[in-house]
Amino acid sequence: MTIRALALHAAASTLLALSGAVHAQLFRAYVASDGSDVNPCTLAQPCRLLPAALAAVASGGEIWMLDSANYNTGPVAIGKSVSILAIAGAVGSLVALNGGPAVTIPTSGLKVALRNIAIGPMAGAAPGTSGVVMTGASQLEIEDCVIANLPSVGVYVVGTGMLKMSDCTLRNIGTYGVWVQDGARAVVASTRIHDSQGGLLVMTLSGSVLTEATLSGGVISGCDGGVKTYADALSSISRASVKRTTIDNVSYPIDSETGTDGTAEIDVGGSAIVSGYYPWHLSGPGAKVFSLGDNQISGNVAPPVGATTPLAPQ
Amino acid sequence: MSARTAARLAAAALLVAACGAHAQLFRTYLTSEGNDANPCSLQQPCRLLPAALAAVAAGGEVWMLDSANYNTGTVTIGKSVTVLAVPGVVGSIVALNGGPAILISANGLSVALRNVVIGPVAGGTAGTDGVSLTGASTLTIEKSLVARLPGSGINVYGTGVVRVSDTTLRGNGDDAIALVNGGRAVISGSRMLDNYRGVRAWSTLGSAITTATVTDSVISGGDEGVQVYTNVAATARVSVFRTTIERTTSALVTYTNGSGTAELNFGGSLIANNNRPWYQNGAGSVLLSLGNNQVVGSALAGDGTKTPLPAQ
Repeated sequence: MTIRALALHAAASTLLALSGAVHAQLFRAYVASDGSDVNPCTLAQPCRLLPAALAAVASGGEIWMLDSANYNTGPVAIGKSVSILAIAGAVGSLVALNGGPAVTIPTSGLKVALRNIAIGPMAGAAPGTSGVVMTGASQLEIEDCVIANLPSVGVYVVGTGMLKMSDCTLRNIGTYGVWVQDGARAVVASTRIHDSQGGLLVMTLSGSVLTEATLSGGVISGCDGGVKTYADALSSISRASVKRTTIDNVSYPIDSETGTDGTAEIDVGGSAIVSGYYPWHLSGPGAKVFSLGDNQISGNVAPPVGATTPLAPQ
Repeated sequence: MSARTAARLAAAALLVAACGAHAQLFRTYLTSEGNDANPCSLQQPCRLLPAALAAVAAGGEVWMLDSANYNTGTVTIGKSVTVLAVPGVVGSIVALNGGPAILISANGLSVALRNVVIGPVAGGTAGTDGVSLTGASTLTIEKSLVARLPGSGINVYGTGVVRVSDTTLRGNGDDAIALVNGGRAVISGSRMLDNYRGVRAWSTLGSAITTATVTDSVISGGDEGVQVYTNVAATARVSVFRTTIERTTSALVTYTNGSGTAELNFGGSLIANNNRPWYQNGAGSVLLSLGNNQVVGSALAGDGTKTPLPAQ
């Protein structure tokens, strides 16, 4: 070994040792179908279930699901910044059962990512509720995931959390695929929401609070509601922007509603709204729908309820 | 016993109790080395799809764990289930002996197929369609391949609903996707290549409403890209949005024999290098254009009337 190689080796070893000593946790933890939770969650000795890996991983680290299996037996509470992914070629399954969601994020200030994860029910067990529930003011990214067959919400964010979802499929969800409420923000891109009660719900029930979401490049099909904004509190605003999205066979594709207070807005452009019931629906004194004037709207059963406001292209 | 061990045992007991109560698994497994005498568990997987379907609970999942073919005849799905091949493997289901690969004839089901490959058995007695949906159920097909079948890739007869995304349908002898008498479809991000037709929506029973939406997809080759037809007092409609239709004999076809409404609306799409860009004929047939389509390279002019669809 050369002097330079020796020096590099020594420096790297020292750095790793110091890092391990300071944090006593792994920068990456592993779970596998033949793992055991008494293991340290290393690659050589993976754990079996997600809670053990979350306990073993350092804040800001990663958890890799190494093969196709289910990795929880109850709600998984995430309390640190972490990326959880199933490696390409594997199905990393999480189930919602026993009256709870599959994943909760109650803590604020985190950055959590879920990638290539499948979230569903456990057929035959007591039903769960939602896929992911984030009540903390944290940031959640969900990529390349399937969330299906759940009785409540696909992804529910309430409070000032931020959701960024892309390339996901949500289907057969008992309420809305994505539901953001009371200050939450969401970006939903290239995502399909099928056969659910609704696609995207933006709701504000707290005064002087803005809740907003954008939906682009996606499909909503076979739902009662498509994109809905709702506000009912003084100076509250719910806003959804819809771009390059196809909404098909939906009773209320674009639905803006307020109670006595608040503003609910939906702006829509470059989208197709076809074979539904009402193409758009406004209800309440603060409800507004803005149209860029380039939408393909055809084959809906009933005329719209309320008028759109032109949104000039710029 | 540590607290963690106790918790794990409790979780295991929960799983056992859940399985015991219902006598079926929430997830069953198939491998090329499996055996249908097994319980279809992860440790003891089954070999063929019918065994896994019998063992799984309604609403559960069947996972194909390695690359193999998983049927020897038409597979009838009679419960809500998700059938998927894990990413990185080819989960094959074949159509043979004069039947479809998969038949869903029951009503009220929710079935999903994900990452499966459906095709023929070369050298065997030919099958018909890839998936035949005759029940009033909902079928989702994602990230799959349906190819080289003598019939249609997906055939919906009646009031079933099919959602197709990120899927390739190619070289099928009839339609990539056929909808007759009440079927509904949403086809997104998919490719329909060298089928006899891309999408066919027919209503030939009174009051039937048959609809399809094709978005962000490609239809290439074949006789017709999209065909909409009625011959009774019924409705058939297809909406084409941000889709490319190229190298067909007729890209957009809507016609009636004088009864019903056959509507084809299209916007933001590329209709290129076809023999004829559209064909519209018969009372009640209508071809609606959003006026922002790119129509180029056709050998013949459109036949019939194209009606403006005002953008909103």
